Amino acid sequence: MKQSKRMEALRRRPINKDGYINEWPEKGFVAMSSPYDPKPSVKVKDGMVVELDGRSREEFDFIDQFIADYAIRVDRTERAMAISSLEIARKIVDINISRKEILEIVSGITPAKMTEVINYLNVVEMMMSMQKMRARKTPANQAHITNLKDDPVQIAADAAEGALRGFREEETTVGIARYAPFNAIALFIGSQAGRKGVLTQCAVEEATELELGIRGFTTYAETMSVYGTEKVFVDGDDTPYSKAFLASAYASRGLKTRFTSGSGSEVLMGSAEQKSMLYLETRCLYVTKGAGTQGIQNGSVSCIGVTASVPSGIREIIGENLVAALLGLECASSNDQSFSNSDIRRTARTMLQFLPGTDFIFSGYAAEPNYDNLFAGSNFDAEDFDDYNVLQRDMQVDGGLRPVKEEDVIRVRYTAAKAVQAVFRYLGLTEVTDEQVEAVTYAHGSKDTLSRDVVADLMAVEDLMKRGITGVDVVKALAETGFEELADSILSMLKQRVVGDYMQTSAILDEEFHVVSAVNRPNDYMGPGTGYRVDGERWEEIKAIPNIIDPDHF
Amino acid sequence: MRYPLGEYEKDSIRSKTGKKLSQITLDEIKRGNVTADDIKISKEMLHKQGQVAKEADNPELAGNFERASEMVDIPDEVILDMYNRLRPNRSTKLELVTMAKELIDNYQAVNCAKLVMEAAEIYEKRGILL
Repeated sequence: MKQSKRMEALRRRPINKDGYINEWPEKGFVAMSSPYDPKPSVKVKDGMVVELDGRSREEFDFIDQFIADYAIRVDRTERAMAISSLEIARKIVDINISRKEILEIVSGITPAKMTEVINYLNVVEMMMSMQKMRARKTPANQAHITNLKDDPVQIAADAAEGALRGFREEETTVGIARYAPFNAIALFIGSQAGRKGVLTQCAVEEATELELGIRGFTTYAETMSVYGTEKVFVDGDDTPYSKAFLASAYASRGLKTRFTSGSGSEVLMGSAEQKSMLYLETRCLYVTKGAGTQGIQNGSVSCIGVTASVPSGIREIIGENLVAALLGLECASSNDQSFSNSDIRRTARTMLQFLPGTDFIFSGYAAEPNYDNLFAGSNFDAEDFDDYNVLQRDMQVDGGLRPVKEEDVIRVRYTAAKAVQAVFRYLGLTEVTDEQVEAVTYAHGSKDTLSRDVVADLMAVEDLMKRGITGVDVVKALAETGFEELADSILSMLKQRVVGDYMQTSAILDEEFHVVSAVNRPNDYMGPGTGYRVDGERWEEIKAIPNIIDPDHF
Repeated sequence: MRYPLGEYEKDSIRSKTGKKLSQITLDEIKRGNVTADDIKISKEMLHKQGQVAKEADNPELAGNFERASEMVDIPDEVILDMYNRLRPNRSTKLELVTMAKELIDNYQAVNCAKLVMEAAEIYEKRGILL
């Protein structure tokens, strides 16, 4: 066949480097609805759910049982299930029906019913629903702060810049597991150097993550995975019961937590039981709700390669975010792992959360160049900051970030790096040289920084853990080395855990450490003229991108 | 009770060790008068946060805070060990029942014990006990 030059040009486009597959429900490759998904049903006897989505209590697996006993309001379920799924879908979109009323109805429906409801909505209706159902009135954003060298000084500087740019939560992880305490401390210090009140976490293996939290090196935890089929849950080495226990353990130490789930994980782990990705993810979200966790990180997250490959996959992702919001959960709505070679496609995917706003639009925007992102790259990275700011300005949308001035970036990066240098010196850890502070201050990524002595660092980490150093020691170190204001900020963060207000649904802190959550600032959107509007100071901030033409120069 | 408690109930808030918020200051830290235990949450505060969650129509979150308040006095390593034993294929039924008893006898953690007992039953049914 003679080849068309047009077709050849199209073949070369980035979009054609992405992978696509047809629906294959037998293996779980189906986004929204599988012919094998159960039909909704519920039966209550003596105040107990005895039938759930076609299964009797005797046939329940441990997920069914946990959902039946913990995640469905027995007093509301029969009434809620009597309303047709189409009617519920319409109520969700209806601006005249409040979020509160929807939450009450939805608290009584089963996972199969929820899946049916979501299937009635197109993406625009899902976005309208998210705008109303998002837990917190104001949206926010979360950053990934990592680098290839596990360099704590760069972590601190990137955290400071990220905080300055507007992120209200920052998450790190490590290439070498033993670096975790260093990076957690550096993230904590750096974040407060950029803008006060930022929450931080270090995503590592469960026991270590809990220990870092208990020690006062982190303020929240997010990496508690739940799954939609029993087999995969067991392969993930947990059950809803063990995860609920762990969630309470975190709360008992005064730490904010959210669970993690996402469509595609059951397919990847080979046991989707022929069910749709949306149905299985809905089960995860019911487990999350039942465990009494305030929120979830979901939206396919690290399995987006699977979900994005099937028809309606990207629609499914906003769909599963919406299920979280419908259950009253805080939703950190993914947008993290990079999944497409196409700039058009990756941007379009993010618009579904960006436009309506979610509690955290990204559950990990790479606040470093993607080559330094240890979470396998994010959908947006540090090189997209200006694009993102212009998108906010173009559409008058609050995506949680703001334009910054170069001198401010340099100043906060320098302060963060100097503070880490001082704390390390005071606590007798490895040396941070002035040259390293200088390099990190002006760096884009780890290609621009000096190498650290990894062996010495790891020995110092071990020593730090052995000596029982805690967050209080970090505060003291900062206070004794001239970083009084920073010490005070870290202390204010630590005091949050004594009070616990920030463990309520969708809580973040403002720059004066005041808690802003779904309890004191619930989303009250009910159509035009209500809810959160981008105006006043915040709009001025968004408008003020640096490269604006000065009319005097015409 | 008015949320945020840190703003409206500030003066009545005490940490796990009984320290008032106003006693947890930079100066006190410099003097060495604040330990890591002083910045831990108390049973009472978790109970109160549970009330806040209940009033916000979130009984599930309230249930979590109730279990958490029962765990305040359980040492870190005991909690971690219990969590590990609750994972699939880690315990016999008797071990889980014993753990539930421990939770009640040593810590009056009735809600935690209930969760563990339910786990023991369903784990047996689903074949994920040792």
